[in-house]
Amino acid sequence: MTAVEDFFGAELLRTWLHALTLPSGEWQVLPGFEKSPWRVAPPAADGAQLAQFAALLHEFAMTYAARSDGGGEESPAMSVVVPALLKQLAQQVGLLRTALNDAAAPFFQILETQTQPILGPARETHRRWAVVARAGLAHTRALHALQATHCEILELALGRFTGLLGSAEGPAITSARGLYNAWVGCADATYREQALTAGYATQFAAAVDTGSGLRQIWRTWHSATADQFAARD
Amino acid sequence: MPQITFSLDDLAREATDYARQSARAQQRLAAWRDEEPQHAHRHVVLTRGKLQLYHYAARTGARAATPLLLVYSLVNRPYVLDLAPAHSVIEDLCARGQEVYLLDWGYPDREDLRHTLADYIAHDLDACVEVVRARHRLAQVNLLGVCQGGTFCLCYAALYGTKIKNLVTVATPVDFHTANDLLSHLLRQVDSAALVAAYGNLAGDFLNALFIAQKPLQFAHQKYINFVARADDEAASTLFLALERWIFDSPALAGAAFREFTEGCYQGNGLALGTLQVGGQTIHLQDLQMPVLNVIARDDHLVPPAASRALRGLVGTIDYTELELPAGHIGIFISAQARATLVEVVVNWLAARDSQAAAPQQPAKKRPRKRPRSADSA
Repeated sequence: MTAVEDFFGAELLRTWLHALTLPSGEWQVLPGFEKSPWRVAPPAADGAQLAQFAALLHEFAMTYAARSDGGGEESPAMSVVVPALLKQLAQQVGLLRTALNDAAAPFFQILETQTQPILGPARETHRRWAVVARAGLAHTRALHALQATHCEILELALGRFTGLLGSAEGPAITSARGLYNAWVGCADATYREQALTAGYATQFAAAVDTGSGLRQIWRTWHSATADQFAARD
Repeated sequence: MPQITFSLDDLAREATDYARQSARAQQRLAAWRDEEPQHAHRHVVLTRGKLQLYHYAARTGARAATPLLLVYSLVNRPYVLDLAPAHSVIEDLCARGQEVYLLDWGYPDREDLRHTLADYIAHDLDACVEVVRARHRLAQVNLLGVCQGGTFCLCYAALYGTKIKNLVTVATPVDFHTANDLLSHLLRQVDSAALVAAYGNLAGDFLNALFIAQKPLQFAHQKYINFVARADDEAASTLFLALERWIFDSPALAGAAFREFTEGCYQGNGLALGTLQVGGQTIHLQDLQMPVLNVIARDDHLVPPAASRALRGLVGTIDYTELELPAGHIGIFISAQARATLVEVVVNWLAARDSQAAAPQQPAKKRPRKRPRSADSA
């Protein structure tokens, strides 16, 4: 892993969140780069991590200084940074997908257990609860499928964005905002293409409809339970 | 990667600027008075349940002969037409001699669950038309509908054409099955009966989620980045915050009307196909014999231009005018240039027809009914 790749790693998120809470006036000059506009946040409670972050930033700046040709239309440093950024984005999408599946699996398991019939005195109560559990399972599965599709769309968008940045065509991107705007345009256009397919409309409707079903069943269950307790009063 | 021309130094400067603008944006937000804009020049002339009808008097000596009734969508509040003195379509219309009436549907609640399209169109809207007719002692009024309000006006004018002198529709969906209509596409397979049975009235948050789903990154993220980037511009920030407040000031939709509109328009495309029912009466757009001005927002993300343009081939009138403005669904009222053009065209178009002697109402000419040429219904 290069310093640049490491720079965009998990340390960035941790330390950046801390840095954002500080007034910019408290940020410190990077040693060796006094004339540069770069500043780093001072160490707080988490000093070791921040020191590590500062070291990474320093190394990153050194990498930049070594690679920069000091002018011209193309910045060699950006040709290192942007692929690293894209790689990080791709990893984040992968993590999102993994997290989605990891979080859903035990939940599905619990709900499926609740839908199984049982014997004994609690059978009827369980049977009523199983109806709610089945509706909950259907809704969770539908939401999971829609979110998985969103992950796929994100991957497609990332591929398109990578292609856009690798292309010599189109207007130059002259700022970070420009880069961000290009990503938003790319992602929303990809989403729109996919959302306009029949398959997406079916998944969307399933998510809404199973939600309606769950709410309706829950209301019925809640009402029946309330009636039951009222009768006992 | 020849396209990227900024350096890390540029990036650092940009980040520093952004941090400063972010602090400024927070100040703007903290100082913002989060309340509905004041409307100094209006007064209530009708209250009917949640509905209120406001009158804005003309502010010039040369007044238009026929008053203009504005009908907004059930979704969001109508005050986007009078957002602030410098961003008010209504103020601009009044300054050009129009006697303006604005229908505000209000916030439906539990007791409106069974409010149908017929209640909104044949009863509420008709009550407003009657009040305006009575106040001005006129047989006919001018009607201007926006978005879904335009669809309501088309239905009303098809049913009660004798009461309407001229009809203006702005950003109004007519053919709900055009190729790029994402909102319609997302609703096409949704079981609206189950949705209403489960939730009752449809919460504004549900509708907002649908609207954000049109361009998720732009509407949920990028526009806030843009707000920060423009935080130094007080006028732009104030306008953004006013619009942001308006966007999420979202009334619920009455359950019965939502179901009818979803099934009849988004799913059945009944307005274009001539099958939409309002209170048991079928809406035939060829029954529209009055002059019609159809204003289309070229960059509309909610109502694709083709969805509005379909009106041309469906109305019965021979006096049909179409205007396409380079603006979005809301920008058509907010952008200074688009608003100025909109007001100019509407006022002149109405004036040209107001100067003509009122002709006795002709019975509707029955024309062969056409099916709209849309991708999905073809």
